[in-house]
Amino acid sequence: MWKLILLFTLWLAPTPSPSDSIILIADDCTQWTMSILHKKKRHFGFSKSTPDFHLVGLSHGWIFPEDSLSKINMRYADILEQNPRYTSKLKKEDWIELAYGKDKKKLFLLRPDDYCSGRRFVFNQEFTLYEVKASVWLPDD
Amino acid sequence: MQIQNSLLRFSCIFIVTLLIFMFLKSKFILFKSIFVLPYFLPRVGIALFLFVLGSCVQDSELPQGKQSELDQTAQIAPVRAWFEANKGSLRLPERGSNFRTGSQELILPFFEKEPDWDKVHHYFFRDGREVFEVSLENKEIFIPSLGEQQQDQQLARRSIQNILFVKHPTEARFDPLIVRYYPDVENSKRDFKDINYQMIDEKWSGTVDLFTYDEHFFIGFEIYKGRILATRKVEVTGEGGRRGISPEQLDIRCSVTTTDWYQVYYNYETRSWVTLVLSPTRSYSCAVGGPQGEDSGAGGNYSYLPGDSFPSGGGALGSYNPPDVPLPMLRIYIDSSIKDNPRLDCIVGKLGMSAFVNSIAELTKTKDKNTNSILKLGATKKSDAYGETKNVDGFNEITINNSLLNRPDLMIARTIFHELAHAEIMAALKENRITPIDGNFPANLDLYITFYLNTAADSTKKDDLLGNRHHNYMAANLLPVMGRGLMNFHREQFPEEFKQFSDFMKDAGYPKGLTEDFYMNLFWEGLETTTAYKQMAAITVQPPFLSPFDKMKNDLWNAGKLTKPCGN
Repeated sequence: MWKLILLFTLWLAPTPSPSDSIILIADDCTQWTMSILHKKKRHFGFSKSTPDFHLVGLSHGWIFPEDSLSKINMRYADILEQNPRYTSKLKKEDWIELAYGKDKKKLFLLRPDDYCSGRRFVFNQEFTLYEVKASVWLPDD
Repeated sequence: MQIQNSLLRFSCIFIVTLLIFMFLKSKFILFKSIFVLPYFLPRVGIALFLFVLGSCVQDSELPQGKQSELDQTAQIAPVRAWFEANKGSLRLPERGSNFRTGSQELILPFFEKEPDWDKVHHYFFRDGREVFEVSLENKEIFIPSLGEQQQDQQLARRSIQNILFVKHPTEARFDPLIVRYYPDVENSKRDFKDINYQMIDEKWSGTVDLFTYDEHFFIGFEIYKGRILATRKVEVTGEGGRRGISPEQLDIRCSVTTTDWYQVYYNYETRSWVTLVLSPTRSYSCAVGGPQGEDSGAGGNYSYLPGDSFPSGGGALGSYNPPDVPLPMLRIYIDSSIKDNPRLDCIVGKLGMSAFVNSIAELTKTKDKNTNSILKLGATKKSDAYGETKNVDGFNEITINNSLLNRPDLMIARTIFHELAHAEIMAALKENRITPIDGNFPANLDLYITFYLNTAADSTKKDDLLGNRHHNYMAANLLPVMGRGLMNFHREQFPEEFKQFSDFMKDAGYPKGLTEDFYMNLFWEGLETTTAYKQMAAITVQPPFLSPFDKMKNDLWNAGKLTKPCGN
């Protein structure tokens, strides 16, 4: 029963507005490796190496219901209008800011397997953008 | 001892013979019981045989285990001999053995000290002087009264009194001082083995008072959870009682309290506590700075000379000359930058850092080396490192990067543990140049440091090389202990989060719930240049199984979703 209530609450919750969020497009498709973080909950993550970090990651998943991450559907043309950022262009400081910055903007990801698929070239095609958390691999010196 | 060993050997031989007989007997039964016994009895017999044989082999190593005790006995023997020969003359010249009414100096009644020579801490002051801290068996103890009889009895029960023998740098003498530890609260009560003057854990709160052998108050220190807050000097107020102190008489850093001193002991015959009221005193508490104290010289060789005359005058050989002493040392100093950050203060308050360091020290064989670390919050040299450890004036200074705190509490705890492991490796290198787990390690490390670090042009490069060497050692040897420590912290300090997370992880690679493996994996972040990491990352497995690398990566991701129970 409580799950139904939770689902209902989530359904009623306002859809996140793209203006208070950042859309990331994983355009360097072949660089990313996908991992399944939780099979039942369909949580996943993408990781890649960069010149600055051993690994950077973008993951869609949560442990506690109150931390749940959202999804939105958007046409590709609309995505482009939101000034998305391309992961291939992100610099070291961008990654640190995305992972640890105090900017509370939500991150939405256009997955590399979607972006590099033929669907991108289909007119009016809608994509699912997944809210993600960014992480970078830093040392404990 | 020889009789004991003979008995032990005889017992072993007897039991082994008995088992062999049982085994043969079981063979005989084999002809009678075909179905069950042939499988059962011989196996039980063999298992027991191996078990007892193993026990016997271990027993034969007992003398080696006793070796450290013998070493300690040999080390303490000259101290004991010196004390027995000189204890009659360990009085300050021209001073009485009881209250001096004409002076404000607090002098408590003298009683003969009875060291328990089996309970000894052996360490060195930072200026190199050798110290033996020995437990006192005496039932009597002096306490500063808390005002109520029951509280005083509790304080007497939890207090510890030891005798410090400080070896003279040039003369064959071990000048004693009496140290008394007065814990503020019950959970600061410690056993003898868990506290000494140069190794007070970060959870301990209370007062450490030093007295001369003949009970002249020397100096006291007020300690609160990883910080030395103040020194204190005690004066008697005289028969007239407590007189007020005008503000202009006080240093701005000092405060004054009045305290009655009691002598308390438990009378086993009457099964009652006996309390003798001594003198009302006035205690001046003056704030001190960092671990070395505000007035300390370089290296922290702080010698406090309270007041104007104590201790002073050389004293000829054979007479009592109370040694200068440094401040007490805390195993881990908690800097005010941590205390000022409620979240970090909360995390650090929950971490059993000294216990963790002890478990690392078991491996690095630095348990008796008295490593002292300072934990701070601030900017790190590398802005993109979670934390760093460097040696400053003989202290391991650990800095947690204050710009990378936006992560779960567990991950901040991981960073602190990682840095504490660095500190212990530093101690192993400094004190031993030996880390006995890997037979080749000391020689290799020495060569490495000599070859690379002495030729590296800039200090950053040197630090990098040394740091990486530490990481190699950590990755190869310390991860299990670190993982266990982190898991215990999570399970004990954040039980709700641990339980929910453990349930969640049942479908994320840990079907039976979280294990130490998960927490070990969290420590791989930042160890990617180590040999062990490369070996781990090179392992491939057949799908659908996850490789160790993929599992580690997923674990780090999932840990990143944990919360901040200590606040934002």
